[in-house]
Amino acid sequence: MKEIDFLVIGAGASGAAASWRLALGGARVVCLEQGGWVTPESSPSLTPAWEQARARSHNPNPNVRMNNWDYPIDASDTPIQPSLYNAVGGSTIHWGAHFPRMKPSDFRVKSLDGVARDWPISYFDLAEYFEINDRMMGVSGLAGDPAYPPRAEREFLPLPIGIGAQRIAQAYERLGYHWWPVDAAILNGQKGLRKGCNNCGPCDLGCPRGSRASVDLTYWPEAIAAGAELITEAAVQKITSKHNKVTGVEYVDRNGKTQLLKASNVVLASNGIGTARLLLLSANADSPSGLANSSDQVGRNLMHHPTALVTGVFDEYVEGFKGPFAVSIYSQEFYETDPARGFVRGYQAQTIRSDGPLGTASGGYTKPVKWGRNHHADFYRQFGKTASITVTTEDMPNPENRVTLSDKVDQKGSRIPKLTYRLDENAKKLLEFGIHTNTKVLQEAGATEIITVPLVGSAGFHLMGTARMGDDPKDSVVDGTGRSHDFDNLWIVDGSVFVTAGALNPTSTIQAIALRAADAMLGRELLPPMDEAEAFQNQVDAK
Amino acid sequence: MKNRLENLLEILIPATDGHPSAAQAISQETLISDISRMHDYALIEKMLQNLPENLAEIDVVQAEAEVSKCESNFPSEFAVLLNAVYIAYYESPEVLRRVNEKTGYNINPPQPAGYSLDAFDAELLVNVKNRRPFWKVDHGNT
Repeated sequence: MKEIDFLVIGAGASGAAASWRLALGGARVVCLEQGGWVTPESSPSLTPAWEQARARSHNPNPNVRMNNWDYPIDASDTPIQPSLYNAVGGSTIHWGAHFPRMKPSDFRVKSLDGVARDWPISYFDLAEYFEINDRMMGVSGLAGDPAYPPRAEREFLPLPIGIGAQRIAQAYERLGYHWWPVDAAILNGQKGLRKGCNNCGPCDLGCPRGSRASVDLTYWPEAIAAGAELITEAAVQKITSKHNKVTGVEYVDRNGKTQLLKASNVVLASNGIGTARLLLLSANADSPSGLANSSDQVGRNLMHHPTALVTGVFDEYVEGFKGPFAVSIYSQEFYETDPARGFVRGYQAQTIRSDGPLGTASGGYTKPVKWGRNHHADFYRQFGKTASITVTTEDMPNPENRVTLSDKVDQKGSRIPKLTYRLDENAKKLLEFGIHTNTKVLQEAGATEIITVPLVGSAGFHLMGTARMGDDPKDSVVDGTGRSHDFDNLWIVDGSVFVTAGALNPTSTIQAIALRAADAMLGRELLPPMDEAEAFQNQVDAK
Repeated sequence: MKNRLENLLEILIPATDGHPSAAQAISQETLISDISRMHDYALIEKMLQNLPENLAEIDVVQAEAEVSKCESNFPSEFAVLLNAVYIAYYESPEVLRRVNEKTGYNINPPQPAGYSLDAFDAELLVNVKNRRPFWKVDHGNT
């Protein structure tokens, strides 16, 4: 049998994109995924107890969900609980599919604001890869946003935004703030076998129509058709290495047997927690502090997007439970640094919808409705009458925020990851500012009551920075193409490689990075960067 | 005689406005089993022991004050119990039927029917559509 050219670990957003690109390029690709396939038809959104499923069996936190495919995560030393999914499709199985790109400034915070560090690549290096990825995933939205460099016409028109977001959009207009309908990886029309969205709401529970993109439906069929092999329920325990080369992996198969698989290259796509964990688990005599860790940066600089939630309660029904929960409109009015505010960088405001009865009562997007004599009255004051804005802030890299190995072990006997994380003062000021400005927005929109959650404790869904890229092998784990500084046949393509976090959902950027990395792995010429100055001038001229 | 858990359920969500109380809508056995899946129910039991035995017989204002005291003294245990109570209560067909009666909310699963919504109205983009590009780049184009 032909030797495995690329052994990809993880079949989520980045692993799927890389596997597709590599297989299309003629390489022999094998992907190991510790979870299995999740059929869209198994979504609890087809069952009466769909909200209960979100609280239990389909909870985004693996420590609550306790699926056999999951590994526990020690989250006792962080205020932000992890949210991720292990299956073919990874966390795209349960995401909201809000699909913004990181912005040009996100790659240049040191140059622009004197903090953290610049990336070795730019937005413009990724521009063509963003477009390829958008076509693969299927995006609804609207070109022409002045907050971004030009991008191609979206494949579908924006999704319906609903009554609540309409009010907020009108408030933004009156206040003179930026807003735009989001790019959503949700179809507003038929695409192949995938149907258009019917506004059911709980995208996080899976989409029986296939409207909401997940890479098991987008990339994987194409990758497999191109020759990629996918082995499911294969939990990688360590990456093997000899001298300055990685040689393959050791994994536990679905029958509990340990298997060895050799490959010319190993590609890590296991998210900001799983990748760091695996590198640390792969320590050996030559790499005693973990594989690819000569810089001591593996596991460090864990970044989330500290998130506050500001909810407006309106006097009448805004039917917030209708429509895909995470996607309607966003504002980047306060995304960039303004020194007068007393902190650096900024936030994205994302308008989200509201919940069903249980979510309303238990405080899914707000706070739990108070118990007691007035419980029902308080419930009806909120149910169907709220719209919320998430304040998604930029997290600065901090080496003490990190993934390490716990002394506890998982079902297979491997040490589980432990998260150590503290919110810094900058993020606290940012959150406070975001709450203040969005309170004003919601009041302008006509909300009669404002409910704030200063820090959403369950918002650990963006996992970045734990194997960052950089030009200097002394303080980074991989180079700008995702290749390990220590092992030239080891690659990382997930959110671990982020140098800084931006202040928005990272999946689109993660996938663009993975596609570009795949071209580098194949030894291809990388797609040319967008001409920044020309793009800007064209956009100005078009106004 | 009612047990302490049942008494507490009556206080947490009493029967008002045509809704059943939590004690009426929830099976205690199911509730305990659900909590025990992730938590040590003995800790909840211990919390319950701190409530007056006659909670159901005292004035409701005083009873709520006792429960508030319990919530303050056992915040983690109370939050676990309350969350489990809400999960079980809002799964009850009787409760959902009443929500439907009061609001018209469709209590069928979200799929396969979904909802109808008006298409996005691009006319909403009034000022922002004409705004000069403001993505920040290295060369000072802000």
